[in-house]
Amino acid sequence: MEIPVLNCSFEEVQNIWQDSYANAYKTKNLNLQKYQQYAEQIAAFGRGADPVLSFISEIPQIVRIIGENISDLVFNLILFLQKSPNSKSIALFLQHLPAISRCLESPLLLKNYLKILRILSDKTSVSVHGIHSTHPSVALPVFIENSAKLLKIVNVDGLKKWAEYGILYFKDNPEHQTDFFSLKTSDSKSMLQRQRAGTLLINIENSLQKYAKSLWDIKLNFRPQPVTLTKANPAGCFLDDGTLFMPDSYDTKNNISGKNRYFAQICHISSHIKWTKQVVGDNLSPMQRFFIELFEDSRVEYLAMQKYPGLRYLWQKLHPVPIDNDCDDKNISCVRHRMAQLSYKILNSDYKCSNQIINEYVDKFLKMMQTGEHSTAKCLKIGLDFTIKAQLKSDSYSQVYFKNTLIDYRDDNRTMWLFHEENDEPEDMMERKTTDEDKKTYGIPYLYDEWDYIAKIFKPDWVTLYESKYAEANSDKINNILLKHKKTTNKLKKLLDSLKPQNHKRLRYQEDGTELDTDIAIGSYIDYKSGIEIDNRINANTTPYERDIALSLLLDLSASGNNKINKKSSQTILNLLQEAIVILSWAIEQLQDNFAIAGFNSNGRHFVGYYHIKGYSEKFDDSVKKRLSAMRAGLSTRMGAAMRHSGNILQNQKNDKKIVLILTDGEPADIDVKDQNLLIEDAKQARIELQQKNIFTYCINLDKKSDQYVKRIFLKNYAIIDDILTLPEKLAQIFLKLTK
Amino acid sequence: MNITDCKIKDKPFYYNQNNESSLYEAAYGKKMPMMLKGPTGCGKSRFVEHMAYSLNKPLITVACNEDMTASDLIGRFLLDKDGTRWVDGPLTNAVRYGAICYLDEIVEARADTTVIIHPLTDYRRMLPLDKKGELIEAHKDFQLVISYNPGYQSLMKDLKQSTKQRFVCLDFDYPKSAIEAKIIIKETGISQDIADKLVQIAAASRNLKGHGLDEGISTRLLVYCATLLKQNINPKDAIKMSLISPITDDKDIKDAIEKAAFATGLIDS
Repeated sequence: MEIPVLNCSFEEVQNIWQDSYANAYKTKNLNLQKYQQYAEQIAAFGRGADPVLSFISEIPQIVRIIGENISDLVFNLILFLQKSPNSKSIALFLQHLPAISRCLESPLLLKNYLKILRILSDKTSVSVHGIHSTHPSVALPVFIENSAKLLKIVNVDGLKKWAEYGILYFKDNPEHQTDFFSLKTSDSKSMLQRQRAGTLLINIENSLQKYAKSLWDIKLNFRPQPVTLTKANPAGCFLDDGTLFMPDSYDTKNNISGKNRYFAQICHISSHIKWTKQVVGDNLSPMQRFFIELFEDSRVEYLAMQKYPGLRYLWQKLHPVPIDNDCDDKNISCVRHRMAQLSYKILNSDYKCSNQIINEYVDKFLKMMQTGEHSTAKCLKIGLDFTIKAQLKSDSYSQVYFKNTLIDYRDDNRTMWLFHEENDEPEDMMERKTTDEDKKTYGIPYLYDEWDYIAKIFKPDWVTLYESKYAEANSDKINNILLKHKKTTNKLKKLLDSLKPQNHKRLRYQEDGTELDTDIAIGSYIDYKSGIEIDNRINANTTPYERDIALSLLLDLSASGNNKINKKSSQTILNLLQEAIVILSWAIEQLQDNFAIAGFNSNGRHFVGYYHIKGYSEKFDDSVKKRLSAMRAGLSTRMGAAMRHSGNILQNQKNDKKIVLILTDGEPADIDVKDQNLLIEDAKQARIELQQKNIFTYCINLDKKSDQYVKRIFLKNYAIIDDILTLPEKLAQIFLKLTK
Repeated sequence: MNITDCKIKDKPFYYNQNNESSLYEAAYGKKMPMMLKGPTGCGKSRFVEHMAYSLNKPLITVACNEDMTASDLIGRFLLDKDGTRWVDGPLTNAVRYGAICYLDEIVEARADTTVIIHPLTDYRRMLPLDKKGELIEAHKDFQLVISYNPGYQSLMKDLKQSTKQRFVCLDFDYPKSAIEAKIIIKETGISQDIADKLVQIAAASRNLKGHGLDEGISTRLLVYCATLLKQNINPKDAIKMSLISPITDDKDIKDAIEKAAFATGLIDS
């Protein structure tokens, strides 16, 4: 091998050139001529020695990993970066490329990955005065550094979608870019989670809930374990405060589908909930607890399989099969191997195990189960015995045998133990726990997606909505309203009366009725003349339609409610709103429709307030009046989230017809949104979602200039009240007409 | 009409869940009107047949529906080529000749229908036939029995208090697992093992009541399923046809019941 002279003035480069070339020489599929040529070109970039150093040392390795000559591809990207403001990232890119290539292993995938880098470099470089890109991208280096870890979580396509999402929403905000691309924000995490391959927990949550309820009569909540860069694939699951944390996605394993793996997990946890009684774990070593947990796991599974024998098949399939005699107990710690053998032998009696102590304890365990005298406390005893009996000197060695010992459908048994001394708090997996204090101040948080009309996608978990009960104030004010509006109520009364008997359903085939059904009567007469037995149900009757309506009245409580209704008056829009609601509520009570009242406002996407004023099951009584009286206006109007939430509550009502009636005095707007179309389109999307749930939406708007956007959101289903003083009367009238 | 035709010929199979038979006998002794409450397919109708048989009384059953009118119960004038003639309805027959009259799913009938049973169900024990101008005094053996499923009907369809309070009431529920399995075995001759599994699937479905399911799998459906299995129908198909499709269209619920069937080991995943 003759090493050619490299035309490059950097001494550091010349120092390693010989070794690097020798390395490259041994690499199959590497075009050596181009290798040298590219290196010389990079050296001439004027970016110092770093890029060329990285290039000559990393390229052979990358070619070996990918198995094809990709130096053209890589060089083209380097050239692209060189011409962009991001040339500083070249060295970084080359340093990380081997690790990234290891996750991709195919030239096509690598090509796709490099495409993402191009897009990212293009879109996130900041252009000043819109002339050309001058400031380097903040996102690009972060993205390159994390790529290998990200690719362990999602595939290239998923990574692309996730990156595009980040570009779309944070392209003008470098600070957020860093947070997003280093997976620090919750929307970044949930967006990434949605790109995962396999069966996603979020897609089958409903089914899983039904499994737990039907088979075990247990109500479980599920949460995916958050994806983090340090823990790409959290295995197993754990129960915390009634919520089951599970991996966010499962692939098929040993022919068991992802969904069935979740099912196996739920059945295991449910068995614990049914049969495990807490025991004190203070004075036990981790190893003792480890084996006690194993016996307890086996015990509850034994009981579960007695009830549902089909589970044995599932669990056996998912249980690792430890290789007998495979662990060298002289030199490495065989604790996990012993545990797996014991556990598998209990689950599958056909399994051959040559460890006699294990066999002895499997028999003991099975005998205990057969006699029916078993409990968590008994498992504690048998587990302790076994730990001592089977103990080996090597157990404490640092090298541990891991092969085929991870039982990932079982939980970590943290709920089984009772600790009097609470020094070992289990690791907090939740990103941010809602404390009781939080709940008091803000209410219960709910996350909602928001529609982006430009990208035509839902931004996942974008909006946080807090649901709370409204404070209470003196109800006298409300009681006086009805007196004040006596005239209006009298007028409405006529309308109310007219509502009841109108609209009739015609009942045919009646023996007695108010009118003759001529068709049938003639038919019967013909039968009579022909001497056949006739049907004398020849009359028709009418009966009124029954009203079966649930109404959710949704009030916009944004700051504009504090505006005076006109220059002369001291009354605010909010005062008038209160009057209107009182009259409407009075009318609805007369008709006995099922209805709820709630208000909403917002302060950016992280706070949408949703305030209960009256619930469906509540009467329009004093406590409702007190809340109504306490109504205050403030902040902005993020309508979509409030509509979705109101729809979700309304959906659980059993009534035939469901209506969300929105009362607002302005268009959807919020402090963190510049493009007002965004929230208008989101509200429109929310209206469509409600429609799909068979919920009718109607908007009453006090903003005279609202024609354009109201029409966009609600199509024909809106009314604009020009003379605001007529609101109390009009509101009730509109509702009554709607439900006529 | 010959009322003895209405006697039950073959002994119906009925398994006592509690002491309902003796309670019924006591009520019948005093001819108290009887209401049977319970979910669909739990054995209410079978119980009435069983009691009619063991008391050796004729039984007239009327399945109520929303198009049913008072005349359908008490009778009407029919036109024929010779003019008109009166034909007694099933209730009138029972009152006249002394049978147990069983009005199944009374709530389904229109409100005006339920009112005509009022004079029959208090101390008067009379049935006025307005159109015919006749007032029938009930036969000493006559008893009125109604069935009523409080679960699935809407609030609008509930019985009026004035009607409800004329009856003594027996509460029915699905039998306990062991008894339900026995019933399935007796009705179909299926093995104990399969019967147990079917009962478990039913129990799982009943847990879902109120969670997207109005009513769980009934004993009757279990019997259907066992009958299909007995004919060597593939268990998966039999379960789908007799236990899942009849009760729900919801994908998740279907899936959950299927999983229950799998967990019992009756079907493969």
